[in-house]
Formats: sequence, structure tokens, C-alpha cells
Amino acid sequence: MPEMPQRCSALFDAYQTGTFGAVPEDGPGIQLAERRGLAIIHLAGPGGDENFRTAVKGCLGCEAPVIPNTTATADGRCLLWLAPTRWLLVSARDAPGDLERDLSAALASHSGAVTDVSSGRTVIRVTGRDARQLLAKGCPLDFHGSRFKPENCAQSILGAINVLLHATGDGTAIDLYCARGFALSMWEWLTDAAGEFGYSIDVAIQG
Amino acid sequence: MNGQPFRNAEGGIIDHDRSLGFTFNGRRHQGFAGDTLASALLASGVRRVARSFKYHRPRGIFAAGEEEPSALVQLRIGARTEPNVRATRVELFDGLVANSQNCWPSVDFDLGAGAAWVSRLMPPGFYYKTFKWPGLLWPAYEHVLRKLAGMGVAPRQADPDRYEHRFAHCDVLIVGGGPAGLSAAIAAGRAGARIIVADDGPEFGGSLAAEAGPIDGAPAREWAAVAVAELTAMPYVTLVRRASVFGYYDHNGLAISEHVADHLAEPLPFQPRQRLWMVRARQVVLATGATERSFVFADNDRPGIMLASAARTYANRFAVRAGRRCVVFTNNDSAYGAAADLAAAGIEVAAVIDARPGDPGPAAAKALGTGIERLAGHAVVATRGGGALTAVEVAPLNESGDSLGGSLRRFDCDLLCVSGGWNPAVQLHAQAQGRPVYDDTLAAFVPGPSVQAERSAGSAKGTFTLAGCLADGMEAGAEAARQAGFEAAETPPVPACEDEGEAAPMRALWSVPPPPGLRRKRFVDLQTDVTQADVELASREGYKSVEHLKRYTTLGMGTDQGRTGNVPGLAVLARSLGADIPQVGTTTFRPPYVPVTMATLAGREIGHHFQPVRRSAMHGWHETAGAAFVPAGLWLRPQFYARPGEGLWDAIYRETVAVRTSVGLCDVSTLGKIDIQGADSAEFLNRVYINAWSKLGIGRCRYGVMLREDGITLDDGTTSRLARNHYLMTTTTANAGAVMGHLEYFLQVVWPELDVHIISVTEEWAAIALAGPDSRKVLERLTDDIDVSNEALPFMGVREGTFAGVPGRLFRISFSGELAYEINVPADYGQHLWEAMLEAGKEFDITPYGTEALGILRTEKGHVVGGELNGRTTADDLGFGRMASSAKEFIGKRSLNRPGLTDENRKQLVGLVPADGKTAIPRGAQIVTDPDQALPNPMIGEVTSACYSPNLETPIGLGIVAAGRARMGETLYALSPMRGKRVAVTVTNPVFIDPEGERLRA
Repeated sequence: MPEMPQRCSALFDAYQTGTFGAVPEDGPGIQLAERRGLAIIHLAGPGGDENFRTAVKGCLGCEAPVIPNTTATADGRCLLWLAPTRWLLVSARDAPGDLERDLSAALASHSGAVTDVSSGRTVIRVTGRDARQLLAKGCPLDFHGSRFKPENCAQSILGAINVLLHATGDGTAIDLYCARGFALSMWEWLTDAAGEFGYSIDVAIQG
Repeated sequence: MNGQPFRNAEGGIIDHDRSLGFTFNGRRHQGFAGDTLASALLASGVRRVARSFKYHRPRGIFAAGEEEPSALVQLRIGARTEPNVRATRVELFDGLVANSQNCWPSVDFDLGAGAAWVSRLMPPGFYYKTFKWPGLLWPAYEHVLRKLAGMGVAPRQADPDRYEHRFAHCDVLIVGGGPAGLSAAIAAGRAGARIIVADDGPEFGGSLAAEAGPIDGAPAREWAAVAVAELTAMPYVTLVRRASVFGYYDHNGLAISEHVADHLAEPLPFQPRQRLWMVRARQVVLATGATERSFVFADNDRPGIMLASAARTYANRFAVRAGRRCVVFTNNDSAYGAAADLAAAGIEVAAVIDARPGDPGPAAAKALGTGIERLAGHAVVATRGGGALTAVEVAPLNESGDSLGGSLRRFDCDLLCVSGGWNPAVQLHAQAQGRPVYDDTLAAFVPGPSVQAERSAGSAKGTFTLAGCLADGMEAGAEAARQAGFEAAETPPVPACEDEGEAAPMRALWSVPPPPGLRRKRFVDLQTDVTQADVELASREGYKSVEHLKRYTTLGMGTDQGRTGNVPGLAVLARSLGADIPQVGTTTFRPPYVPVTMATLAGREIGHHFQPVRRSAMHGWHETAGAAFVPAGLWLRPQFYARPGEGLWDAIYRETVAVRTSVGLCDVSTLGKIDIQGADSAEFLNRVYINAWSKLGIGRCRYGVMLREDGITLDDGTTSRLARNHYLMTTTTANAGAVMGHLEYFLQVVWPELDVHIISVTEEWAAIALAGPDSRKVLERLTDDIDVSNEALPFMGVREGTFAGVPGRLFRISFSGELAYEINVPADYGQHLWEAMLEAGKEFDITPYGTEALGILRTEKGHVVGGELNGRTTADDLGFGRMASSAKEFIGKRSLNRPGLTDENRKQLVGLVPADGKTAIPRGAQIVTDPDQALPNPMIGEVTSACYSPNLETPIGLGIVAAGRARMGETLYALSPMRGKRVAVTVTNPVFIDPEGERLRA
């Protein structure tokens, strides 16, 4: 039986590290990096059901947030609120198949669905002092720090592409999730729009 | 003096030490940093700048701001050239090139001016009246008129510059950075509100830069600088320069066009030239200022006639004398200050002609002083001059303003400054559904009650004193902040200004009668060459509505939107109709308030950024293999893979035959895939599909057809049962989004009680079809944990296993009609599997095939796609009638009994072959029984798919034909009159190959 091959990102061919655009003296205003190798699981279930949420937490160590557009992170796993009954689970430390299997087993006695979408999403991390200015070029959301806070997430568009945005950590990095098929178009949009600020493409983040 | 005879050596806010060279109409001129093209032209003594739209009359510079109706130029050359640019809005840069437009051979000698000689033959509606008959000749007329119409020349090359978009949000948007706008910004900013201040100039301050009196004992400019510094230091304040707010839309959405780099010869690398802002503001302060207007009198359009405020701006801001000797014609106090400033700048003021019989206010009288002659109760009635103004004729005006008394008096002058009163800039207020109201005292429209969250401040509201504007702005800014949630916002103290005293009332005067016997044009709208006679004629012809008048005469339809001409036009119409101005009303104010380039609206949505593209995981391989791509929705799919030396048809033929004779593989990742889980999944499928799902076993799949609620077929596809409560539905590529929305709607709205969870997994799985008699042999080499024998994995079987080391799913389904499989693996492994399949199939000459071959294969098999699933066909029309279960309810079932859907004459799916066995059937052709019948020949069907079948070696087609299934063997005709085609076709079974399905079960 052949070896399990490496996962191949949708951006593999286009990804070229370096510094581009009109870079000012104090360095590029934008850093772009793809997050690769993530386990991304779509979770559906009764968000209002305490037992369901307990089961989720018991399996993942991480709460399923109930407040719209918020996220919960614990132990290298993050749950992003998508809808009253839907979350996206993102893990940098699990293999997609294992996580899908474990969570399915933990929720076997509950209504709900666990679906591996690790290959179906491309995740691009945008950081830098002009990150929010860059996103404002194509996304109608309010990116002011008082509105789009650390650990907030939101579903919107960037250019004409559906995107899930996540202000990770202290909010300086924003992760963009888009459908794999749109990834290259999104990448082209980002690198075009970032030229004005100067941008670097950094080595892809494993996890 | 440096070739600038009209420039003062000192003064203004230009940089006298930085000289800039520019070219106008081929002649080199000099200006200074801080100039506009207009001020630099005036400094150089250029007076004729343009020719007018209709009559090609020479025109000069009339204004100093965005209201300029006359001085429109062709700016720049080559790919960056832009027509109809207002010279007053162009910041001078070194090397600027501009040319007059609408004239030939030159602005000084223009053959088009002949239009003026025949102008009496060209009344409003001239084209309609003259060229309407005979109608057949209109195309010929239009051909000629097209050349005469329009102004300037559009560039022929692609625009080399970037144009960008951005969204923005704020608590308070302040439109205008003059005294009222800056005050509002200070008030709202101190309250802590997040604000955006947009000003259309290169620097904030508006009239504070040069026209206004001192504030707190210092020049107004200094107060503005302090205010800007304070605002800049506030972290929540965004100041946007060179930014025109041009549209006010619903829910306080406003659009701004920011001229980021128009003041440069060319933008810096990566810098956009212009940027479109789409702002969502909780509250808006409109501090848009006011526009001075002129009077209607004979020959009121000569170069040298200028708004008094504009001449003042040129003197104070640019140190430019707009003429040597001037006459001021006014009906209000504001022009007195202008006259004083002009005199101070060195222009000889010959006289102030005041239409009011009485005295001006004390401040105005003081400003004017005693050295300048003043004629009260007089008006300028006519002007003299060849290419430009040389003299004006003045006469006493009677009390009602409709006749002249006494004799004409002539003043030699090269500058006439006119001030007919001020129009508050109510346009944005009106775009926000506010209704401006007419103010008799100001003889102007002022903002009415607000509908959206906006308020006007300063002269935009009809407040014309400096102290009033500052106070207004402070109050409006504080109020806006409070309304935006900053309840503690206080109104800052208003700085001390000079007491301007009480102004004397203005005299509402619109039009001055001409001297007896003088028949000269009296313009209402300078940009569109509309005269008082035109308005009066339109009124006599029955155009009583101002909206009709506008369209008939083109009054106010220029790029200036009638800034200076509209209100006088309304007044003339009102008098002509014997009505009041408020009764006549205004035309509707619409965006854009200022001209906006198409490029700005397009932004970066150009070229390959026009719309995003979806690519499958194997896209890179397809590209390398030289595939031709075809768009399928947003997806790009390989159409065919031509080998070197192969033509399009050779490749398609080869790919099609390979599938029928050996094996092919096709990227079918674009098919919609929906993951369905939950205890009620089978029930859910029963409700959405017409056929029954309760008995589908695990590891099996089934073909399903779903209907819309109206009984029309929505989509078809297979659904597989992966586990007890776990299904995978597939849809067509085209309908993937629609089906997902359809299912979500029913789950969320209609059947929330069902325990079913769905999610699109189209993007998660790369899907590869493996089709052909050798496909099983290839499959055996790819997987070692699935028994793929016919017994273990029969037709419509589903298995999970490993393929070339990758876990995935295997479906034994067939679109081509051959023995075929579809393998799904996570998309990150798609290209790996594709390459592994090519390797495994090498010995069978495995052939990648594209959508063309796929289309032929499915047509040969009679499978339906978009042409047949066209939103008009029922399941029965397509031959699926017997699939519909009578034992259950499903979406669309109740509609199937509607008479229209049970009609025996409905169009049904049939196969078509040419009667002669060789003539291609035109796709989309209409099907008739008798091709020679007189028109209109009843159409009984249409050709929905057509191709040449390499396997049958004959053209074939699918069609939907009235009562088609009862017509087997009949000869009908496929007509395509647009293409001159007429083919006799025989009606057949739609399944051309292997109707018993032996191959796919092999």
C-alpha cells in the first residue's frame, strides 16, 4: 500500500515568499501567510442544548460559543460561531480524520453532524499595521477595533468571494477562510490590493 | 513678470518661488505651486478657454470651484486624457497639458461657431422636430448627429492607472471642510465620536483660506490650521482631502470620490489615481457651502464675465487679477466685499451696479469705501466684445424689474463680476429624500425637514455670515455626536469674529430685460447653452412641469447639474407660467453630485479581477496539459485537451471514442455535493425528491429528481447512503447553489422539526470520473482495500476505501453510459489521485476528457442537463414520470395535477436524428411540422442538445417536442432562420447508445 501523500494547498503553485509592492521605509504594511495542515471540521447541533455543549467541551476542551460572531479557543483548538446551530472547529494539532472521528463518537447520542471540510477551506492570515485598511477595500464590515474585536469572527465577502474572518489572538492577525476553489482568486485579490501598502508573503504557517 | 501679466508679485496662498510649466492649446505657460489650471490661465492672460456646447460661443472662466459651467477642457494626452474637466478643479502640476475642446481648428477661430448663425433655426427639441420624419431615415441622421454631439474625446487606449474602492464606517460624516464643516468636526471630535471629514479641496478650510474675515483676531486661515491640527491629533478622526461626496443613498450610505493622485503628473507606483469610498455613517453633517449665481441678460456669457466670489478667490487665494478694469453687478451685499478685495488686489473697479434702489448694509458700504462709483437701482443690460468682454451697458431698472428706464450708460471693462445671490448646496440633502423649500428672503432653496439622519450647517443651510457658519457648525457637530450616541457632546464656544452688522436685504432679480431693439442671446444655463427664449418657448409649447422642461431644453443637464443656471431657469419658467417659484419646484436631485469617472466606479473589478474564478484541485494539471477551459458558472472546466497538431474536433473525437472503447477520466469536482446527516435524513430525501428513499441500503446510491413547488423540475443527481443517518447528495454544477438554498429554506423555514443537518461539501472533495470498458481494470490498480468486482460492487454501489494511498469514496455510477466509477478524495489530494490514475491507466491508454466529450457522451446516452432542465419541463416531460411516488408527499407534488402540467400536448423529451443521416442538427433550432407553412409557423418544440456522435457516426440531438413520445418515427423539421438552416429530423428514443444499460452493468 502506497504512503499517504502530502496535502497540497490550493495556493501551492502561486505561493512565492518575498516582499512586494510599494514598501515604505518602516517596512511592509501587510504580511500575508497561508495556514496549512489545519484540521477544519464543520459542526452542527443544538446550540441551546446544555448537554450537547457539554459533550462538545468534553471532547474538545473548548466551548461551543453561543454569542453570535464570537469564538472560543482552548488547547490549540478553536470553535468559531457560524449560526445558532453551526460552528467551525479549527485545530492546528489534530489530524482531520482523527478529529472528525473523535468528535462524531463523542456526539453519537446527540442530534448533530460532524463533517470534515479541511480540504475545502483555504486559510490566509493577514497581519500588519494596514491589515484592516486592506480588508476595508473589499469587505463592507466595520473593521474598527471597537467593532471587530479580538476573538470575533464574521461572515461576509471580500471582493466578490464569500469569506469567514477571524480576529485571532489580540486581534492583530485576521484569518480569512474561503472555499478552496476561490483560493487563488482571493490570493490574487489580496496581493493586488496590498500593493499600495507594501506587503510580504511569509513562509506558510504549518498549523 | 515671468509671462504672468495678471499675477501680483505677492499675496495669496500659492508658492511664488515654485514655478510650474504647463501647456495649453500648444502654448507654454507658467504658473505656481498651489495654482489651479484656471488661476494659472488667468494669470497668463488666457481668456478664451472653451467653446460652448451648442453654439460654439467663446467662453472663459466663470467660477473658481466645482460649479464651473464653461471652462471645460481636455486634460492630458494619450491614454490618460480626460474630456470635460473643469479647469477650476485641476491642480496645476509641472508638465500639465490641456486643450480646448468642442472647437476646430482652434478655440480662437472655430468653424463650429457657424452654429450660432443658424441658431434661430435650432430651437429646443430641434433634433426631434426636424429629424423625426421619415422614421426610416433616422439611422442616417443619427450617423451625422453623433459626430456633432458630445464634448471632448474619450481616450482610445486602456487606462494605465489604478482605481480602487474602500468601505468605511463612522459615527459622523462631515461633508465639507470649510468654516461650518471644521466647526462641526471639532464639536463631534471632542465628544469622542468617530468621524470622517471629506473636503473636495487639497487643503481644509474652504472660504477660510482666503475669503473670510479674521477669527479671534488672527487671519481665518490660522484658525483653520489650528482646527485641522487638533483634528489630526484625534485618533478617531479621518480627514480626506480632494474628496467629493457625490451620492447620498439609503440608510445613510454615502459615496465619495477621492482624487488621490490627480494632482500629480502620474500616480506613484501602486498608488490609486482615484478611490471610491462607500461610507456608512450614523449621522451626517452637510456643510457643503453655497454657490453664487448669475443673472440672465444679453450676452451674459462672454469671457471676462465671472462670479464675483470667483474673482475674489482668484485675487485673494491665487494673487491673480481676473481683469484690469471691472464692473460689479449685484443684487446683494456679498459682492461689496468682493469689490473691495479686487480693488485691493489692483483691479480698477469702475463701478458697482446694484439692482437694489436703496443702500447696502453698513458693513458692505464700509468695505466699498468712497472711491468707487455705485449705481443703485441699475442693471447690466448688455455686454460688448469680440472674443472677450470689452464693455458693459448699464441702465436703470424699474421696480418690478421688467422694464428699463433712462438711457444706456457704457462702462469699458474687461471683467464683469456678477452676484445674483447664493444657492445653498442642498443637493445631498435632497438626494437623502429631503425636500428643499424656497426661502423668499434669500431667493433660494434651503434644506427642508430631513428624512435621513442628516442636518445641514453653515451656508448650505442659508447662513451666510462667518460667525453664523461657525456657530452653526459647532451646534450641528455636537448634535450629530449626541444622536450618534455621544450624549455628553457639548457645543464648543464660538470664536470671536468681526461684527458684520445687518446685511441689507437682497433683491430677487433673475433676468434683466434687453435694451429695446437688441436681439441677443440671454443665457440661463451656460453649460448647455439654454437661453431664456428657449425656456419661454418650451413653456409656450406646453412644457409646464419643470421635469419636462429640463429634458426638453437640457437645462441643468450638463456636468455642473445646473449649479448656476437651474434656479434662474425655474424663475424664468415660473414667470412665464404666471406661477411662483415654489409652485414650479425643483427637478429631482440625483447622484452623482459631481462628475465621477467610470473607472472609479469600476475600481479593480477589471480584467481577471472582474469576477472570481473557481478552480478544481486538478486545475494546475489541466493547465499544464494544455486544456482549453470553459466557464461553468464561476468554475473553469477543461473543455478538451488538444495534443500537439490536433484540432479542436480531433481532440473531442479522440476523447469521446476513448471512453467508449477503452477508458477515460474526467474532472467532475464541480458537481454540487451536499452532506446530509441526522435521524430524519431519509424522510427529508423523501420530501425533496419525487422518488422514494426509505429503502435505499447503506452502500447504495440512487438517481433522484427534485421539483420546485410549482411542479417544474429543479435538478437531478444521485444520492448515496454512506451510513444509517448519513447521505451524500450530488447536484448538477449549474444548480448546486440553487439546490443548497432550496434545501436550506425548507429545513430552516418549513420543516424546522426535522433532525437533519446539511452542509455543502462541494469544495471538500475532488471528484474524478473513470469511464469506459477498461475502467475496472484501472480501478483494481488504484485500490487494494475494496473488492471492485461486478458481484461485490454492482451498478449504483458505494464504498469507502483507499485510492493511491488516500482515503476516499467510490461510486459506481455512470453519466456516459459506460462501465464507470466516480472517486472522491479530499481536494488536497486531488491532483495526486489524478496523476496516480493516469499512471495506473497507462497500459489502457487512459485519456483525460473534457466537457465537450462529456456532453457528447451524455447526449448519446440521453441524459438531461441544462438545456432540458430549463425551468419549464416537468419530470414527466423528461421521461421521469414513473419515478414519482404516489405513496408519499414531496415538494411540487400538489402542482402536478394542474391542467397545464397534465396537458397531453406538453413538450416531451425525444431523440432527433437527421433524416438524411448526415446533416448536423442546429442547436437551439425551432421544430415545426411543415417548414413551408406561412408565418407565423407554429413551433412545436426545440432542439435542446445537438452534436455529432463519433460512436454512431451520425449527428444526433435531443429536443423537447409537443407530445413527442407519440411521434416516434415521425419526420419533423428543425429550423434556424437566423442561420438559414433547415434540417429534416426523425423523432427517436432519446437513448441512442445501449438503451438496455448492459454496458454500465457489465
